[in-house]
Amino acid sequence: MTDFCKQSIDDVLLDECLEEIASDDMDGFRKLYELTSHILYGFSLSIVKNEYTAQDCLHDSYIKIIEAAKTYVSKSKPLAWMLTITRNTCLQSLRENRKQANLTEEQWILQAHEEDVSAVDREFLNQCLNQLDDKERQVIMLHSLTGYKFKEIAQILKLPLSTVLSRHNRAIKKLQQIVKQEE
Amino acid sequence: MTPEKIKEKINKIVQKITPDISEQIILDARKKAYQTKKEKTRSFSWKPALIFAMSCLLFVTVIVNKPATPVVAATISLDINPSIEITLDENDKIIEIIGKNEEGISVVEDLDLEGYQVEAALKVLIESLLKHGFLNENANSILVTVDDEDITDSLMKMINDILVEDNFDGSVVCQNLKDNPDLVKLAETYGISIGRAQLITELIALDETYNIEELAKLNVTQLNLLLGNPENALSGIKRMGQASQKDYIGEEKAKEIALSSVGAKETEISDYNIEIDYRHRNIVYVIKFVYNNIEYVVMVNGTSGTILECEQENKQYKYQYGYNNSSGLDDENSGNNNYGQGSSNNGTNGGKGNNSYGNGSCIGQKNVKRIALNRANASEYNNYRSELSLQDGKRVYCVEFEANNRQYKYVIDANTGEILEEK
Repeated sequence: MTDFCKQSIDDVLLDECLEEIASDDMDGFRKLYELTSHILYGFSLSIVKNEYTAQDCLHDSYIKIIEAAKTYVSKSKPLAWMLTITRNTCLQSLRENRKQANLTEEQWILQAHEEDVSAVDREFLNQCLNQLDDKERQVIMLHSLTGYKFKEIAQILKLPLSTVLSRHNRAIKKLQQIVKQEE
Repeated sequence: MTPEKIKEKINKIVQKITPDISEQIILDARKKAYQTKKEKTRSFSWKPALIFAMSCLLFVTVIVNKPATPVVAATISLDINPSIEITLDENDKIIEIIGKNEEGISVVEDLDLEGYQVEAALKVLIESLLKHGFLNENANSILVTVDDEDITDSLMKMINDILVEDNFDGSVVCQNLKDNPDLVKLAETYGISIGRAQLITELIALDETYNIEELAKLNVTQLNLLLGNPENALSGIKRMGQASQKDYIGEEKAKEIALSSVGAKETEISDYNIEIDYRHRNIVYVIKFVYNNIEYVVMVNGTSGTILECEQENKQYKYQYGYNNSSGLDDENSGNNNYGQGSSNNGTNGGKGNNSYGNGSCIGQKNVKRIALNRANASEYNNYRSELSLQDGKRVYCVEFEANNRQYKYVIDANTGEILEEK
């Protein structure tokens, strides 16, 4: 496993950020956002499959996190707690806006941030995510962004460990196939 | 490609496309918190208050026969560049917030602050101003104009505390709105707020060489810089914090330029003083010091660092020279003016080139001029001239000007302002 995956997010640091937020110190939130926004955004993206909806979910999730920070009790798993809030926010968004669930592959395209991401990278991400089903996508995204163990991912997605492992393996095979075709 | 490499690539791309909406989230979280608090308060007091409220309404409608609209207890105007007007009820709750210019409208259009306590509303408002970049390290001043002087001090402290809490090095200028209908006309003529119109009017009343057309173009931070000049101390103005000089070269650089222009080193000078002023259509630094028993007054362009005027004076002689300003930024503003030459002033050209500056113990040219013009009861004058000199061992200003179809001459004590001679 490469270094990026081994380096899990520092839960102690996240707990400190949440404590600062609870005492209305928004510098704590800025730190928290810097550390975790790509994880929550990528996870949102893997659920709602639309970058604009994902941005809304990211916004709403962090609002809920700020609100809940005062009553948050650390169980040494702040990121898992934040991902659960994000997942619930995304699912609520899908329920409220069922049209999103029926997006075709053509609609499932990253359109914004052209100045930040090369066309090749954008196409790579589109291809990868289009070829995976919902659960495969969520497993791959969480594993890519958090470096969490599969057992932890299973807890967040509320799935049996065996299911997560099999979906991960299936997803990896699909992705390797895509890369092979591109090469 | 290995699975790890694929995941690493996904990670990197997602990091790049993640939007930075942290400030928006902070703002929205605050708004939501205030809204929730407000709703809780309302819901808590709704039932027991209903009968009382109905009785009051009946009383108001039947007995007083007035509509049950909120009573405006105070109006607060905020000027940065956006101009925003806030009306408060008797409980310091917001009745209305209005943008008074295009920028003001853009700031308040998404803010629903009606019913908020003024402190909560100001916090949201100021954070919005910071977020939109209207308040920044270069434009760091807020002009607050209040029509209820009882709340001036608390309001100024409130705004200052919010700025401190937001870790923003800002400055608050507070004034009470005067009952002067001319200000409305002036504000409309120059497209500025009434608060700014009042501040500019008072600055001009203090120093007639200021020009309203020019001052109306200055932003609040620039006006605040002028207020920092002790000669522009207005009695009704309260200030907290320092106006930003980040658009300008700064006092240290101006000092360095002034000293090097006469070949002086910092250790060789005395009676040093530096002030910020607005001359020749520029924010300028006016640096005064004594070097080799000669008093120098050097005026440095605050933006370009160009020397605009340099005067020197000692007991034996007075020598004054100017610079034909032909470089860079000043060209556009000042045309071909040869600053500092000559010693007459018709009172309308805004120049200060004829002035001799005294040391720190003198009352200053502005005060001398005011004393002389008051004595002559002259509002309009021509060929104004004043010189600092020694008379019987005493420093005096010799002042001459034409007004009321005659020539006036005064000798004024440079330390006390007493008129010693007049013709």
